[in-house]
Amino acid sequence: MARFVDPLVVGRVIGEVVDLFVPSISMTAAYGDRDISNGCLVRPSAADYPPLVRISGRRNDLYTLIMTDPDAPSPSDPSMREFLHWIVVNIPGGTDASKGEEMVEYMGPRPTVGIHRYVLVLYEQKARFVDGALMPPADRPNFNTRAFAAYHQLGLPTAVVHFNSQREPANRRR
Amino acid sequence: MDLKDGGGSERRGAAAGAGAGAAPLARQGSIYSLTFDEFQSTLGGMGGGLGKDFGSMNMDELLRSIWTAEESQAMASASAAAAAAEGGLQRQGSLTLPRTLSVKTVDEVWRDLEREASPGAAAADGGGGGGEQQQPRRQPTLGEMTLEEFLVRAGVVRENTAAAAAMVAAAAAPPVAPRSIPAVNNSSIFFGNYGGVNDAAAAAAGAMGFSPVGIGDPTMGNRLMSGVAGIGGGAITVAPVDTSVGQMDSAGKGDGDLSSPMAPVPYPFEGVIRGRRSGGNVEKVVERRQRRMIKNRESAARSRARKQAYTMELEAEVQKLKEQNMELQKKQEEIMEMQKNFFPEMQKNQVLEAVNNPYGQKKRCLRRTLTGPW
Repeated sequence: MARFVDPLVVGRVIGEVVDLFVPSISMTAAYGDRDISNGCLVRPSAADYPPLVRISGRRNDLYTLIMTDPDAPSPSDPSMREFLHWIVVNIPGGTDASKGEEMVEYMGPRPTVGIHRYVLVLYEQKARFVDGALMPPADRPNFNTRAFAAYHQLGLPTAVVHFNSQREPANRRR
Repeated sequence: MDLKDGGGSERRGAAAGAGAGAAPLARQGSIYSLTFDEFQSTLGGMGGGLGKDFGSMNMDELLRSIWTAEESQAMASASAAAAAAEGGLQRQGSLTLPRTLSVKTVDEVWRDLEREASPGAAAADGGGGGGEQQQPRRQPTLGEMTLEEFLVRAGVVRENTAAAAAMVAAAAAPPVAPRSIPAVNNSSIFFGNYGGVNDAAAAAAGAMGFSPVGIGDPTMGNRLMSGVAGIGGGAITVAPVDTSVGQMDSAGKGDGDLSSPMAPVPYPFEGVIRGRRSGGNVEKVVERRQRRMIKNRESAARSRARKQAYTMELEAEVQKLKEQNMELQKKQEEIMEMQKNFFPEMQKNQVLEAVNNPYGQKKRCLRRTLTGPW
């Protein structure tokens, strides 16, 4: 079941990271046993390891998952927008992200200033990415999801989830 | 007139000890453009001279004598150059005397300055000896130094040290454009100050018939200052300076024959000056505050958006779960109906029980087996 996009519009994920789209695939993400709903708060320490991202869709279709932080290094001055955290390609439909190929290794949220949004974007691939067809981004800062999608002809996203994260006080860090 | 002003300056001198003596300095830039030699001869000529030599005075006494002198003395030549110098000096903020400085004699301070200046000049020149050669040429003795420069370099004007440093640099090496001097000039306040100079100048000139001293030198010294002001203040300062000069001169001549004692103007102007003096800081503070406010508002908007997004997400979730729940209930109803049809002998309660407690049957079985064999 497709999620509503309204929270994404209000949370300015649509606009700052992706364009308006109609969700066609259901994607659920969970850090451990904690499900991620749009706009929920996740402690960075709880997100050290990649989340379990389950997607619907047909087994023959392949999907690309991108996780970025549009608020780096600070929401009021996002000079690094977007900071890339994760890219997984060739995820078969109906499975989870661990069945895909990690193109850019997962990096947990490390918000230094302010509350950052972390956006998980799912694209449907036109075809399987073989090694030569991919252009891995040079660097994590100043990544552009739209440009990446355009370059790899991914079209509009099929699902987006975002959560918030904030720097933890030192004593609460595990 | 002289007495009265002397009293005024004493009062202010006392205040200056507490760090609020910018008024006279700001009101008349002219006196600060005199060199020490000229200043001394001026004091002597007026009869209000102090017996002491400047070198042996401590800084506190020097300032006091400057204030006294400038109170009772007005420069009819307080023209463009003086005005510009005034702008330059005022920009430094209030004339405060650090404790450590006030007890030093002028000579001591001068020696300190010379010691500081030579390595600085050398560094500026890049070569070791070049700077030291130039330095003495520009400021061979204390006597030829202007009061303004001396005070600024001695660090009497402390509030805006960065600006002061930039100014000294500019004054010492005119062709070098100062990098950044905060543009705090405000033309309307500028005019207000010229008014103050006018009145004081006119009054004093009328009362005492004092003639300008050392026009050439001050203008020389002050052209540097005007350059600084021009650069620092950007486009604002240049035009007002010119117009107000004309206005000032005519006003000075017009009022010159009035012998009305207009001396105690400092207080109203002090207000203006204080406003202007702190104007730089206030402007900076206001700007900073505004930036902070904007950031804060953006942050608040983001926070609201976040909250709203989350609320919407939760509402959507609730809606979804409600629908799911209804669907499931409907399904349960159907199943129960089906069970009723398949096992007509079962009562509705039993069916419900079976559905709600699928292990109930099993439990009963277990109990029986437990009780059975023994």
